Amino acid sequence: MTERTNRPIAASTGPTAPGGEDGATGAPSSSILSEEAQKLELAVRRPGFWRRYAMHRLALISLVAIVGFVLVAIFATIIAPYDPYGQNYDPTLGPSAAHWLGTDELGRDELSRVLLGARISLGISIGATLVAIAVGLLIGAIAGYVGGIVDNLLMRLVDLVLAFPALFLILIVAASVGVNVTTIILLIGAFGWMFLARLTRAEFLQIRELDYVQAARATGVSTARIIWRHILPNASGPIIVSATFILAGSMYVEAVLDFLGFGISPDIPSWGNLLNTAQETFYDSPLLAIVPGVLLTIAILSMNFIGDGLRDALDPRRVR
Amino acid sequence: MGRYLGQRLLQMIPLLLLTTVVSFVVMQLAPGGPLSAYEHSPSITAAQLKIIEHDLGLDQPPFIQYVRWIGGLVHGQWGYSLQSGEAVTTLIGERLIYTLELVGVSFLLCLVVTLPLGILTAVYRYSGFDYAATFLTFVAYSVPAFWAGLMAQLLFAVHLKWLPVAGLYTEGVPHTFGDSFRHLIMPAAVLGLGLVAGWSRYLRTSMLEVLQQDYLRTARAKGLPYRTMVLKHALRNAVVPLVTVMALDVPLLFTGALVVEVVFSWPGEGRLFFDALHNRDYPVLMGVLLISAFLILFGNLLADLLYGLLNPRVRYD
Repeated sequence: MTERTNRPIAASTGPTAPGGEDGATGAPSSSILSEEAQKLELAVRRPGFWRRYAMHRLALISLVAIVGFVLVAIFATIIAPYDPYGQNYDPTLGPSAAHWLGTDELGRDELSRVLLGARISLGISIGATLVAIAVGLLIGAIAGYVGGIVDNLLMRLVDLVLAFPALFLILIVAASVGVNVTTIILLIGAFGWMFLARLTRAEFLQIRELDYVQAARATGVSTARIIWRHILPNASGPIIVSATFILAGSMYVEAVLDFLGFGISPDIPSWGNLLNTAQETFYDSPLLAIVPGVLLTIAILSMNFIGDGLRDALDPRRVR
Repeated sequence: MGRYLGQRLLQMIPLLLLTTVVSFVVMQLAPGGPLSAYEHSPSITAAQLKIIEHDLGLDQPPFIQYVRWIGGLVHGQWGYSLQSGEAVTTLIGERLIYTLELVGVSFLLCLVVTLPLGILTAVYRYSGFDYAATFLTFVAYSVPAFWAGLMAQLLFAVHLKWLPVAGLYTEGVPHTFGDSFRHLIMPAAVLGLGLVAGWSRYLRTSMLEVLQQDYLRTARAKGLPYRTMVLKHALRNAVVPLVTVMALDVPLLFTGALVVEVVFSWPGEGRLFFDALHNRDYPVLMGVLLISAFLILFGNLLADLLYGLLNPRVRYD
């Protein structure tokens, strides 16, 4: 972010794609200056960014919802009224004061399972998103920065992976090998990085030609540092937006895998698994099929709204 | 145009080959292998297992197996189901009609909803209707199809009893068009939810852009009725990018059909794939995977070509 230090404050309304004026101020980074500059930058940018984000009411509500989900996920075992794994009650009881959502087909308290489900579903999809971001950034950054034949090969790889229906491949691997929490994270992440890689590449292609990057290179800044400190922060807007959509997608894929019976062990109360088992008692206790699905939908919906709000806030020129 | 088409087709060949290699490698990497079902069977001896292995060519090195397999592919020989012994092409062919029926009706349904929704939200932009429609499209986009299917069954079949829960037609009753259609409408609608959302948002944005153009202001100034301006002059240009998106999305309908077919017991390709997953029926899995990959590649090609055909500003040379 150091390269924006000398920009006039008025122009610094947001982390828009770097324009021409950035190049003129491209000074090689100096650690003291950069810290001050970052503070200044944040002080200047924050109000504008948050005000624009807050204008998207649904995105704001969604942010609150996601924070709520995350809190539930973190404290799931504390707020759960009963042991989510304890088969201590009569099976498929209706809702009551003791069991707000009733019990499942094995006599476990459904509310406790749904609450723990937040941790599992959110945890797996966040993990998968991190994997996808790591792979996407790495491949996109290398392709965009190095260019040439490396770029060409990596982009053909992206084409190749995109030529397959990801869900089919994931299902085949999951059905042949079987998955646990770790492998499902890696598997979903392994098929979620392609658009992010394309996006990162496009941003890098554009930014690496700017004068301040050339200046950094001329003064002997290492390639890794140029990529990490000088290009990536300027490409971060679209990447963050893309990450929210990857998160929403990962959550869906995880739920589908569990629902189809090829995901993590059916004993673990992920929302997808809860929906899978709810099918068996569909007519007698429809509540078991409704609640996890509603939560899943709200979580995915919130991620999509947040992505939409971020996109608006990060790119004020976009027509809505 | 012809040259461009030729070039694009040539470019597709390596990608097509690579998709077959990936499909093949994925199957090879799978542990257990295609004969794992027999391994612990008391009725089959180790010697018999060897014979089966040899008959199926599974004792050959992977490269030879691949070459034999790809040679067969080209000649329409896609192998036999390990489960039923039927040819994969026959199995896929039998199911294709049902998937096409589902996907086709779903596509039409999407189109019928998208066009008015996209146009009206653009024309009445920032109105209460626009906000409500925007919210609903986001919901439709976000709701997992399998759960939407379950809820639709619960509401329309179990509670309201308007529509049958699942299946292709009512058992024991002569097949009528009406009966088939009643079975088809719910899965087709659920399958289209996500696409309608994406398409109508896209059409709205594209309409908004077109409506700001100078030539439309000119048309208005010359006395053209607003209705005609929107429906003829603006829509024609706004729909061009949408057509591209639609072509890109058709393969999505086919893959989305997997989950919907499972929920609604619809005997199409998705159901075939799902059953094959349970049986580790690798030839069938490879067949469906390859068909889907081909579909996606051709969808991309179609999108490119349509874009050029509909948009005279695109030149190919």
